Parts: sequence; structure tokens; C-alpha cells
Amino acid sequence: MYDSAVNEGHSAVIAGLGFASEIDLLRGQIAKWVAESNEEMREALQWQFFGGSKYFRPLTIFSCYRAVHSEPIPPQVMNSAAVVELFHNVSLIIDDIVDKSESRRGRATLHARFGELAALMTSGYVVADGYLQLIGDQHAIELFSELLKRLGVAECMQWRLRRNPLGVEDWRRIAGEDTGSMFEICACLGDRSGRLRRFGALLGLLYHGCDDVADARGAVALGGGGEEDLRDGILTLPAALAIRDPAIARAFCATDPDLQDLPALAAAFAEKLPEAEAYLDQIEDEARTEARLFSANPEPLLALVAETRRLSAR
Amino acid sequence: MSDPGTSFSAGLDREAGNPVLNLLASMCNAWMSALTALQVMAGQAGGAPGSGRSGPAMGDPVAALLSAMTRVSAAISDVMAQTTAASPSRASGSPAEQALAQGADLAPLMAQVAVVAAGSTLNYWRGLAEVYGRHQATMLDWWARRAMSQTPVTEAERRLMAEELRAFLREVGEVALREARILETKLDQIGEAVASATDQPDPSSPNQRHWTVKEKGANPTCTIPR
Repeated sequence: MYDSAVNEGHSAVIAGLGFASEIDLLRGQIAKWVAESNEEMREALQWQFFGGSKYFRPLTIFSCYRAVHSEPIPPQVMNSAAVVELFHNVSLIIDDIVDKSESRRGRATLHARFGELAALMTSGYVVADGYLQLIGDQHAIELFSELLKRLGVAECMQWRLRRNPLGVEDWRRIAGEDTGSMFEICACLGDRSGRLRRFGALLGLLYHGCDDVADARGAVALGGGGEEDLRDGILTLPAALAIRDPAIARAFCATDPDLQDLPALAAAFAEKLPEAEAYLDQIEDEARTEARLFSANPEPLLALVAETRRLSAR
Repeated sequence: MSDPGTSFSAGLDREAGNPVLNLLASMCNAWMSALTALQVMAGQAGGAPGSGRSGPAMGDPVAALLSAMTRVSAAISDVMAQTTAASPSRASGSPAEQALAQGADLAPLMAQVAVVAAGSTLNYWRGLAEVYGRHQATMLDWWARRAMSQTPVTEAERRLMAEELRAFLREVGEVALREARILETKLDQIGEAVASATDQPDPSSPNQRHWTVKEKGANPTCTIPR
């Protein structure tokens, strides 16, 4: 019931952005890749890749391509979109292991179903085969290498800086390297010139912030994660605003937080939601300005920004 | 605001029909517009907190300057066109005539470079003024209250001020980078137009340049067949 409702929502978003046929092609490409994978890995790959994706990163690639080119999406860009979906799933698998998450979007996570060893080996298999798919596209190989390095650095930085009384500017830096780098690379893979790189970074920042706000609001549409962030002292946007209050900051920075204190902390973060939404509105404006300044046809980008902004309300 | 250039350019304006004097008049007007724009922007930056608009009453100073620079561009084109027309080798079709004709093709593009560069400089200053306008109220208010108050700065106040300053510094950097990218994009486009203008007119030439959209990275569509 939950899965079908969510999938219908995803399909509506995809159709609304005007990429239904491209996403169908992408799904077919990924299905073929899974079907041709090593038999030992196939069941895990099927579980991971056929669980209902938003395909937001491939949609970003397609939108950026369409913003600067008038031709249909070429095979090289379609291939990049498939590989970005593969690599995104690798980041989900690792995140779920690190966060000890048992479920994502109402389904068991890969490590919960197949065990940690299988999940880790599957993620390695996906990265290795993802690079094989990129043979002949040196530019994409460089971009994906940049992405994986930055994601690794961002995760380490975010973990090192947990439970610290940091601010919104620090959140911006962490989110910019985490989700921001993913969308930055998607923009570069789509426009193939680098002119929309900054747009991608802002879109990623917006996505990350909307995710934070939705989590603080208790929403599950973005896959959950709010409780883990709270428990681990991860700097979210509402947290960065709330810990300006020294009393909240002390509770947030406690090295061994009492689980009974977490609801109070969550309530303090929730109080900052209007301020967080206002801050996201500013990022949305920045992204729109970038789209208008650096693309011949900004409409697909503006639609993408609007769709991203809606995520915080779910 | 004193305007010593006005009478000079007004005098030049009276020489209508002389392309060289028209060019000088246009350049003079553009220079005065630039000065005015900078003065207005300086007024805006130091004006009412948050408003960003408190300079002398006038239209958009950047738009006024760009308009003036466009007139310079047109004047340069006129000068080049008249010079070409007056050339004694015009009828000969000689290499000198061809070179002069090509120079005339490029003149508007070179003028466009001047317009783009001037506009970029002013947009940068305007962007800086806007950033300052957005943050100055909070920062000045904080410093004023600190100067008047006898109580120590609280931790929460110090954090808020640090955040404000960091955001201000980040935005100052972003303004510079954004304007540089806009300038790069516009100059790229003019560069392509220059290359097109100097391209071999013979389509069967082995070095014919195929113009589509210029791209960077690994998927260039601008190719020069060998």
C-alpha cells in the first residue's frame, strides 16, 4: 500500500518534469544490467534497485541537458544517468549500514535482509561495474571519481563534526559537500560544460535542507533518518538554527545523550522550522537565479527547483 | 553632483554628422554615466538599512551606462563603416581592402567587449552593494548596541554575530565568482563571433570551422576537421 502510493507519487513527479519516456529507458537499462550481473549478486541487486526510486538524480541530469541542448537525450548522457543511479544506491547502502537503519521507505535495507558482508560486497561490485559502463567517456569518469572522493570526505567530515556547536554556515559547507556534490556532478554530467555546476550545488543544498526539515517535521517521504541524526548529533539545518540557544547547544553536544532528552531536542528543532523554511526560500531563489543566468532554456531547471522545494512539506 | 563633462559632450553633440566627433561624444557620455552609476551605488550601500535604495532619484544607473556604451558601440561601427567607404582601395578588391572590410566586421564585436566589460564591473559593484545592504543593518545594530551597553556579550549574541559575518563574507565571494562566470560566458560568445567573422568564406575550404554550441569538457561539438 505504502509502496504503491509512493511509486505513484514518483511517477507523477517524473511525468510532471517531462521525462517519463527517458526514465522508462533508464529503468530498462538498469534492469538489463541487473539481469546480466553475476548470479551471486543478482538477488541483492534486484532488491536494491527495484524498490521504488525517485530517480531525482537522473532527472537532474536530464533537466540540465535539456536546459542547454535542444536535441533528444543522447546515449552518453543516458548512460551517465544510469551510473549516477547506481552510485547513489551505493551511498544509500553504506549510509544504512553506518546508521544501522533496518528499513528505508517501508522496505528492509540491503544489509538487514542479506547481511552486512553481502551489502558491503554488493556496493563494491556496483562501483566497479559502474565504472565499466563509463568506458569511452573520460569526462564522466573524471566527474564520477570526483563525486566518490567528495562523498567520502563529506561523510568523514560530517561524522567528525557531530555534536559540535556549529552554525548555519557550517551546515551549508557540510551539506554542500554531501548532497551538494552529488547534484553538482549531475549538473555537469547533464550540461557537459560545467556552466550549471553552481546550479547543481544549490539544488543539492536545497534538497539536503528540505530533507532536514522534512525529517524534523517527522515526515517519512524522504526515507526517514531524523531519529538517527538526532541520536548521533548530526548538524541539520533546524539543528544549526536551534543551537544558537546555548541551552539547546549543550543538550545537542552531550557526548552520551539520554534518549529521554531527545524528544525535547526534537521539539526545539521543530520550533525553528519556519526559520529553516525561510532560509530554504533564499537558497531556492539563488538556484532560480543561477538557472536563468546560465542556461538557454531555464524552464526544466525551474521545474526541478520547484519540485525539490516541495520535498520539505511532505 | 558636479558634471564637468556635460558641457563638453553637449558641445560635441552639436557636431552631428561627423562620425569621429560622435564617437568621442558617446565615449564621454559613457564615462560620465559610469561615474554617476558608481556614485549612486555608493549612496545605496550607505543608505537605509536593508533598503539598498537611497541614492539620488534616477533610473537604474547600470542600465543607463549600458545604454551609453551601446551608443559608443554604434559610433565605432559608424567610424569604421565610413573609413572603409572612404578608402581609395575600396574598388580594387585588393588585400588591403579585404583586410579593412574584415576590420569593419570586427569593430562592433570589439565595442561589444567594451560594453560587456564595463557592464560586468558595474554589476559586480552593484552586487557588492546589495550584499552589504542585506547585512549591514544587523552588523551595525550589533556593534552599536555593544558600544552603548555595559553588559557582557552573551554566547548567543556572539554566535549570531559570527554567523552574520560568515554569511556576509561568503556572499561577497559568491558575488565575485558569479560575475566572473557571467563575464566568461559573454566573452566566450563574443570570441566565437570573432572566430566566425574571420572564418574562411569558402565553404569548401579544408579548414572550415563548424559552428554549433561551444562546450567544454569531453564532449565538444565545436570541431575543426583536419
